Amino acid sequence: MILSIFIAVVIVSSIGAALAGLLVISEYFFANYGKCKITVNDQREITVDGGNSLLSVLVDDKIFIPSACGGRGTCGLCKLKAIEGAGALLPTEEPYLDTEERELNVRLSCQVKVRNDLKIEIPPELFAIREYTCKCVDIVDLTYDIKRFRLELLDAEIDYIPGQYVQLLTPVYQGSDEEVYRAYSIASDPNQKNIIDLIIRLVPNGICTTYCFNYLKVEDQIKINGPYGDFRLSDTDAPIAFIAGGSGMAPVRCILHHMKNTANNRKAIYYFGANKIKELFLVDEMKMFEAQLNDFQFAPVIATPEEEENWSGQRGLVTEAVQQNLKNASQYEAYLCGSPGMIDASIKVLLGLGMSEEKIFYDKFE
Amino acid sequence: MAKRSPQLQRLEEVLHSSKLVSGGFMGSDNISVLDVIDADLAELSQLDITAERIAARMQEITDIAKAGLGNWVKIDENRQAMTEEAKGSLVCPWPHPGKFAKRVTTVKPEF
Repeated sequence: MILSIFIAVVIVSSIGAALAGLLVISEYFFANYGKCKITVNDQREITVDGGNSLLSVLVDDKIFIPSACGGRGTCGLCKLKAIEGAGALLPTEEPYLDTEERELNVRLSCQVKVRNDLKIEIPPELFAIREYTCKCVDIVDLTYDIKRFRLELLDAEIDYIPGQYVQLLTPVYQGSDEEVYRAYSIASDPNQKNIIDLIIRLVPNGICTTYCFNYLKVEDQIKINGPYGDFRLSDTDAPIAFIAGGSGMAPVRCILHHMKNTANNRKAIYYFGANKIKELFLVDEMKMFEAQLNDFQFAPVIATPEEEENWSGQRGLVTEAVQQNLKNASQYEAYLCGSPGMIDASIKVLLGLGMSEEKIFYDKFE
Repeated sequence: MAKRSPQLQRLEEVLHSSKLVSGGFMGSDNISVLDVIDADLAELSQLDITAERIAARMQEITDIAKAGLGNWVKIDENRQAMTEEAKGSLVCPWPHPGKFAKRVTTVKPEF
């Protein structure tokens, strides 16, 4: 009897040990992809351990691909061309890729798993993107729901083109159990290469804005990466119409600093829309730009000022002010920053005024 | 209690997590999404109205309110509405692909 039990235990244990061994061997052969070589733009080769997402191995190698969702496949921003070795397109990528992109082998780098050698192409400017550790040195209330956050770069200086944006890494906090990135336009003076100002409007339940407004404190350290984006001042002499609202002030402020720094003499008018007077901000600074720049006018527009506020400036929607006041629009270039609805409405008005589409610049962060 | 499909389980997970919005769509409410849907369907049935009809009307109101760029807009004799937007897009929490504008439309009685 005892011998039978002993034999049974030995047999069961042996089967268990054999299965465990089989698992280890299977993992070695099937889940361990070994070292994989990634060739980037036929110029740079990086060797990585297989098994992780393409996005994460690139970030580990300090190649930052724009991504707002932290690699969950929900933002569709981390696109790149995978020329060889990426395998078949996944269902999770399909919603984010149009026919032309699919033909060009564009993939979402967060969804592509590195299992073998890969050949990829990324825009060369992404090589210039790096991560910066910053200290929050100042937080200023600009309106009841907009703040300016001043970040001091601790380990390096940053070069960027006025109009570009950075991604701010929101750490895990009470309102979010994952790290996420969100994009914010740079609002600072480009001459201050160790300072990044961000003008952020609180989005109800927004993961990053809730963190910035309710958790981020002066002296806290935070990480950003960048710069990103094509939104920038052209190098023509055409007069400029800036049209913005809310936190759309950020890139315009940066561009105005740049115009001042470079003694840019282009004629410029800045239509800034707000619903109430209490939503206007940085007015003194804009008046300062009026004095410092050759031909710049700040034109705030209030949609519904309170009677007792005695608003003597322009009333109505910012698009109505543009419609009424922008003469010879076809000669201008327009730079739009604000909510998607304001951008769409402004484009409609500008096209109606005779401005051609290629003279209208904006970044919707879609 | 009805058995949950994998899709519904995933939806439940997403709505109760903070993957898409701070604190999660459901906040600290532990109620099941299925229970919410069941209660809503019962209410709609009682009112003799469909979810599709409500969605169509909400879209119609939003389309009118969008023109106000964040200001109140008269919808009809009884209602006004305001649409507020933020930059970026929001992924649909339901188990199908879709990215949508970060937009909230508020409706109130016309005075």
